[in-house]
Amino acid sequence: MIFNSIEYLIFLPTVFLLYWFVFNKSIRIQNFLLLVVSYIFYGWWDWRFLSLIIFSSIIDFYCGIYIEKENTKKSKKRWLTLSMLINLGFLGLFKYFNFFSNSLAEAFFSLGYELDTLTLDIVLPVGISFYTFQTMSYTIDVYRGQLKPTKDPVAFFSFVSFFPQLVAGPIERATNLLPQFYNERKFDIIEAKDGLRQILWGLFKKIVIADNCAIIVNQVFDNYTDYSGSSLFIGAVFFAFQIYGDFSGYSDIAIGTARLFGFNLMQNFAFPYFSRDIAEFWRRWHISLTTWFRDYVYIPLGGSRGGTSMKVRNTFIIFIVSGFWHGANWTFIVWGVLNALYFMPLLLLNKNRVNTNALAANHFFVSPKAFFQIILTFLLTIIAWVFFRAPNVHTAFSYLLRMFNKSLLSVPQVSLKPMIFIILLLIIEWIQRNQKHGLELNNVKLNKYIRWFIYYLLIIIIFWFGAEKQDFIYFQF
Amino acid sequence: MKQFIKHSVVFAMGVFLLVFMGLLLPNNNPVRSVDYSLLKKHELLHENNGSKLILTGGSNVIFGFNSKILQTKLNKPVVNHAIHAGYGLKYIVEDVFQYVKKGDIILLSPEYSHFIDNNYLGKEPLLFSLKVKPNNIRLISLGQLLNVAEFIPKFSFDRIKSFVYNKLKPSKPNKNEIGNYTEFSINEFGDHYTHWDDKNKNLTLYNFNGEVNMKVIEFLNNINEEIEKKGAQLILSFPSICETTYETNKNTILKIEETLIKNCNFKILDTPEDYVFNDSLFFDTSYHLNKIGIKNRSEKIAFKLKNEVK
Repeated sequence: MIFNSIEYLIFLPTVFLLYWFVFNKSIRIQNFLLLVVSYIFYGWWDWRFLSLIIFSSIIDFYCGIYIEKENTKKSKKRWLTLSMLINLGFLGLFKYFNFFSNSLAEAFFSLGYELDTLTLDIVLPVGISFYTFQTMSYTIDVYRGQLKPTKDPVAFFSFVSFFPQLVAGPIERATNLLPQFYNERKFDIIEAKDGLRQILWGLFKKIVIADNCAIIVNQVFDNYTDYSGSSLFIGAVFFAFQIYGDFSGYSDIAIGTARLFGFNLMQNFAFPYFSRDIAEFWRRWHISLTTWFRDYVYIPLGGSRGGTSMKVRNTFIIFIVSGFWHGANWTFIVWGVLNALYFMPLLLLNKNRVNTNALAANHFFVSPKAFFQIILTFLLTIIAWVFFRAPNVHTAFSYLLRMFNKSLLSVPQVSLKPMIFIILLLIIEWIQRNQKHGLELNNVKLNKYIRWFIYYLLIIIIFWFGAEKQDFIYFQF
Repeated sequence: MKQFIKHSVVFAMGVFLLVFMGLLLPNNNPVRSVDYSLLKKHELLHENNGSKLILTGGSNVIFGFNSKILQTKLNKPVVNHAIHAGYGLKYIVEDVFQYVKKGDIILLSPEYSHFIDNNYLGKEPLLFSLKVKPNNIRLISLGQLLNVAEFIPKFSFDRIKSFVYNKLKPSKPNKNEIGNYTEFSINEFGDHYTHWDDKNKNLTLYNFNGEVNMKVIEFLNNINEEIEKKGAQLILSFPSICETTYETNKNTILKIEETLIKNCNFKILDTPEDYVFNDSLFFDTSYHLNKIGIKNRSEKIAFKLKNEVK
């Protein structure tokens, strides 16, 4: 089931009413309802994949219990290893097996040997990278002693499969989300109203921004040899906004939905295209994944405690793994490496935490220096996005070479219609840059009728200018 | 909580009202789309000129025949009832069924996508057809309604958009240039003919992966029984398709053919390969033939149908 579908339009209010009016006798009953509806939500794609998520939940539920039961670190580690092996094993099998198999064959072929490759004809289960990371965070936190293992299977299974964020995040930490399944949830009208606003804003970003950009992006990337440098540049810029609208839109809908049920999910995007350097960009983009890698990979590797060489090594590892997490293709690895390279000067000059302050605090406009930094950072990200979008590395390089030639200054041959919506998005998000999402109006004194006018206007824009429905990009990860 | 629900319901009602208003708006477009040719096609079907050969299916049929060739060779009145595959096979067949009379032959040529997943229930174009012929709402099942429900808001707002644009900027159509895909692009048989002398365009290629839906076969078998009860005959023929799209989807097409042969209770006239033509014989999509392609297909079908038409 996808958020921008008629099924979800029926599903959400139904679950909402059942949750607050029928299954409201105890937390356990509410959790049970959430578990059932989450499985329905997930099984809507392909019910067979439910077995994977259930199996993964059973393993981690018991691993958590046994980690706590064991007395020695060695035996605790054994259970953690089992959890990691099974979770990463599934991920490896479904997501990376064919990539490794084909890459090995290509490597042998380049050495003059022909290898019969074994590839699996399997479909990637939706959201496997997201829920696998979420459930792994649980066993790691239990192992580290940061979290008591739960004895309540319903709460745990609901935590793993919580439908708003199950298929595309935010990747929640067990320490944040799991305790919310133990505590009584009270309906908070302010939270619920703002949740609906966040859902509306998410739909705007997905349907108006991402889906309109997708039309031009597909056209340009599929026929990039036919286009001038300026058109390719526009294609790359539109892709930057497509992926932002798509993914942050999904996150907004997920967070907004969770708020309707009394849950608080972590912020996943904080207006990333207003970043003044790459380090800031990564503090604002896909925050749940970045912090996951920081806490569970970067810091255990030594983080920035060692010397410069260790910092450099760890940074490269983190970006390459992050790239690889997105998909089994060299393009994602190059995308990761490129981001690591962008990060290096800041790291080596110890300037990666310079821009942690609020942007244009107490001013409406940003300073010329910060403006220049924002533009430069954005340009760097769009070069990296070309690798992310291209089907292979060769195409990405070829795209960039064609983009950076004298025709870069010519008049683009593609429609610039999405630019109007992008400008609208940027203006609204700039005004709202210190809020949690673009439509947060909790601290704004506005007449009810003006508020409603804004909501209706946004709905009209969504229906009027919304493009043909496209799948969410991050479902494939 | 009560206040929240009350406000949410009132707000949602406002949205529904807006959508509903869009559905009711009249079509003030100076040139109406080919969907409106349905009205003329219904008149042709209604004419009392003896038993007919009724061609139906999706756009592969309206863009795939010269009915005059068939009428001459088979000596039987021909009506081309087809318009758009997006109406869904169920709606197309049930719409034509209303007009079927004793002795009629219904030559049904569905697009391959009709057999995949739930496409036989229709997509957004079905809403256009209902706009043209609101009475046909009685043909719509709950399954069809659910299948097209997600398109309703967009459809409604497109109506509002078009209505507002036409009000703000009214344009007069050039009567000498009918153009393609309009209400008047069809000839006296119902064939789309205005493109016959046009140059080929870049072909839209299709990829129709998915599972063959057995409910489609079940539906066709059931409707066949009803057609037979009326003393008419249903014959299935495969659509014309360009080589490139055929090669891309060969496995799916052969699977569809195999399933049909195994499970259909009515006559299948031909094989998919019979109508795989070179890409140069297509006008703008993988299903829409140009003048030469139309002639080839019409003659081929006329020859194959000779034994069926007595």
